[in-house]
Formats: sequence, structure tokens, C-alpha cells
Amino acid sequence: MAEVIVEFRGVGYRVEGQEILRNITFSVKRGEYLALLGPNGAGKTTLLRILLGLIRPSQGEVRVFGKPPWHLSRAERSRIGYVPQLAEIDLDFPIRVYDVVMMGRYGRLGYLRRPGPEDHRAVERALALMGIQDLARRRLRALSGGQRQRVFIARALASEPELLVLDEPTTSLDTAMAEGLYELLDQLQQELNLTIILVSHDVGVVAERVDTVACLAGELVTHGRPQEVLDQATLECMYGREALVFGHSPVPHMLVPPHSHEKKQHRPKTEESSDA
Amino acid sequence: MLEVLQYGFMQRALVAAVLIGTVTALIGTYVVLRGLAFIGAGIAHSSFGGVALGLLLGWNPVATAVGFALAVGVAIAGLTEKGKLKEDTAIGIFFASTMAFGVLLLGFIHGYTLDLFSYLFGNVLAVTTEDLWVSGGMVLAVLGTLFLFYKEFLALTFDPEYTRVQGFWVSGLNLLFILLLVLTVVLSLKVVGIILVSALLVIPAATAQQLAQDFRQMQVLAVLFGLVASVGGIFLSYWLNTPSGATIVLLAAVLFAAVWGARNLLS
Repeated sequence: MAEVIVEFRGVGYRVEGQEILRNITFSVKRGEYLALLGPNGAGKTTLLRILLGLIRPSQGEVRVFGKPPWHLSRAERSRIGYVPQLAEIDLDFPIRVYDVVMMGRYGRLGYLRRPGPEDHRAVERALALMGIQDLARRRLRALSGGQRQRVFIARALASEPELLVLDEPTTSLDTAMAEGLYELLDQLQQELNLTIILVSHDVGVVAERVDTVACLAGELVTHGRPQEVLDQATLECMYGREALVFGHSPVPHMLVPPHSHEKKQHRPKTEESSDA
Repeated sequence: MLEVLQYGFMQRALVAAVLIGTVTALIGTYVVLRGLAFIGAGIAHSSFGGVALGLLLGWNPVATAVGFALAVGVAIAGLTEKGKLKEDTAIGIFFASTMAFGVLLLGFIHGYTLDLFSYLFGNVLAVTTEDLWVSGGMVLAVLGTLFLFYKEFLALTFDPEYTRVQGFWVSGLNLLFILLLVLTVVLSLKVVGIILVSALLVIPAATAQQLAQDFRQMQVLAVLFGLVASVGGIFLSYWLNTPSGATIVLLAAVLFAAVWGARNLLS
């Protein structure tokens, strides 16, 4: 039985009287690949922030590597590799790829210590794993969206993590680039025996690759193997409308109307209006 | 042409210009990249209240200004950290009210208004040898801290949330940075003045950002532009008989325009 790395028990989060998360219970074992799915506003980011120890839940218990995440020491935190949403990064920041990836080592280094040979080796390894050694001297701004995403995964890997947490890594990527990224994650998981938590709203693609899905809509709608839990009811709950599920593969796929997660009147789907 | 260097006031002014040109440009790289230009201006203006308070009570105006501006900087950081107030709102409130406090105190001071005026607009002639020792000490402290915490401040500037996830005490680093900013602003007051010091925090660093490929380069270039502006500005103000602070800031702005223009015309 693999060791449990992340555990949420009855976790709730309220802010200013508003309930964002309610009674969340799930766990992630070592080596597991979990996709955390849900529409915008489902509380995915909040759950992630709790997991990373940035905020404390109002209710329930959270354990990451056996401790409440906000009590993890800096050394213990470097066992978590975090890949944030890229929208937060200022591209006008003059910085080279190598230096961004080196920042992944800072947590291990701690205050006032400068990177040494071991840190440089870890950066080289992370660059190689992501296949971006050639970009090391390039400026961050000079990269494509897909390359940039690899840089930030490399930064997370530089800390030699056991758990990799990615927040919507494919939002700014086109389908082909996203596909490439998912394949890379598959590879990483196998080569490094990483535990991966992937936050996404990309149900169809993700479900084919992960071990477990957890669907979030304020509470956990479902949690389990994708083949077993991704059914019509789940998708309807997540998307709140007539999501279509069809299966030509072991995993159900779905079609949703345009902008289906926005709460606005659904346009009649006709040929004429589709390109309006 | 260089016989002006014989004058004691000119020697002191140049030493002050080198100290200030270096430290404002270096701190300025963080200010520009973090979008803190308005905080710099807010801190500078709040030091006016401190200077006035010092003059009224007969305390050292620079030391009083440091304490006063530090309290304001901490208050701004504290109020905005938890999202209680938007940062620009908090700065807007302190900016004006501390300035008003200074103006109010000014009414009680008779005969010292000229001195206060030199804090507002800067006056190199007013730089004393004692000022230089104090400035030198503060510059060393600021540069030393920036050197020691180079890695931490780079991380904080580039991606504060990630830095927090890594387990660094981001609020503490922010406070330390505010302290360095306050020291830098206050020690620059006598040369460039309260009104113009924020320009020195922004312009050399913004000029450097146009050219730099990485952060170290940006810091080196910013210091270079800062020194050219401050030292060149002192000479120019002597030859043209213009106010030193204004000349320094305008020279910095001309450098920025030249670099920005060259870069955009060439590409």
C-alpha cells in the first residue's frame, strides 16, 4: 500500500460568510496522478492554496507529507514542486531561462546562501528533463507559450520534488502544445515516480491520462478512477447544463456548448449562428 | 573648466551625487519591476511631515524623517497586505495627509521655512560633511543588505507567491525592502528633494530595463544611468546655474528618452 502524501478530511473554507469549499475529503498516494477538475469558481484555486499552505481552511484537517502544510519547514516544502498559472508572470522582467529555473533551488538553499555546484547540476538536470537546455541563455520573453510553460515546470523540478502541483498549465497553449505537455508529464511521472496533482478544466484530454479524477464544484462531486466516475451526472454537475457524453474510447468524452460554464442564455445552435 | 572641483561645496555635492545616484538606481530596479513607483513617491512625501516635525522639535530632521516615513511605509504595507485597502488608495491617503501634517507644522515654525524649502526641492549647497557621513553609512547599509538578500529580493520581485510557497517569510522581506526604500529616499532628500526623489527611483531603472537581458545587467546599467544623471546633473546645474534636483531629474529623463527612442527606431 503506497504512502499517503496528501490528505484532506472534511475541509471547508469560508471567506466573508461565503462558503467556497465544503466538506472536501480525499487523499493522494505516492506515485498517483490526480486531475482536479471543475468549472471556474469551483474553488480549485482555493483548494490549491490550502494544499500549498498559503491559507488555512476554516474547517477540517489537511496533511501534506504528514503535516498541516502551513507547518511544513522550508526544507519540507521543497518536496513540493509548484507550477503556477503563467498569467501571473511579468514578461518584461529581464531574466534568462537558467535564472528562472535556479529559483526552484532557493527553497532548499534558504536565506542568504548562494547556489553552489549541486544547485547548478540540479538546474541542468531539470532543463534536460524538459528538453530546454538550448534555451538556457534565452530571455524569458523571447520564448513561445509552450517553451515558457516548460521553463516553469523545470523550475518546479529543480527543487527535486516528490509532489508536482500544476495550476491550469495548458490555458495559454494551443491543442498541439497542450498535448505535448501532457505527454511530457506522463513521462516525468514514470521516470521520476512523481506524484502529480493537475488542476484543469480540460476534462476530455486529462481523463485519458490520469489515474484519478476529483471533480470539484464547491464540494467534491466525484473522486475516483476516470472510467468509473466520469459519467453524464458528473459532467452535468460540473458544467450545469446539457454536456454530452459519448464514448468511443474507454473514457467518456463530452461536448459542451460554447461558453457553457458562463451563466448566460444558451443560444440556439444552428449553422447560421455558429460563426456569428 | 574643472576648477569648480576646488570648492568644498562642489566636492561634497559630487560625493553625495555618487552615493545617491548609485543607491536610488539599484533600489529603483526593484521598484520598477514590482510596480512600486507610487509607494516611492508616497514615502518621499510622507517624509515631509517628518522633516517638519524634526525642525519644530529641534531633532535631527533626517533621523525624524526616517522614523516617520518608516511608520508610514509599514502602515501602507500592513493595510494593503491583507487586502483591507487597495495599495494605491492607502498610499493616496498617507501621501496627502502626511504632507498636510507637515504644512500644518510649518505654520508653527518661524524662520526655518527656507530650510524646509531645501528639503522640498533639494539644494546641494546645503549638503554638509556631517550629512555625507550619515548618507555614506546609510548607503553602505542599504547596499550591504541588497547584496546579502540578492537572491531573496530577486525571487520576491519575480514571483512573490512562489517565494511564499517555498517557505520564505514574504511579509518580512517586504518590510525589509520598505525599510531600505525609506532609507534611500530620505538620504536623497537634501540633493534632489521630496518632490523629485521618486523620479530618481524610477527613471534610471526604467532606462536600464529597455536594454538589459537579465536582472544583473539591469542593475549595472541602472547604476550607470543613475550616476551619469546625478553627477552630470550636478555639473550642469553649476554651469547653467539651475536647481540641482530638477537638473538631475531632467537629465535622467533625457537619457531615458534617448534610449527609448533609439531602441524603438532601430527595431
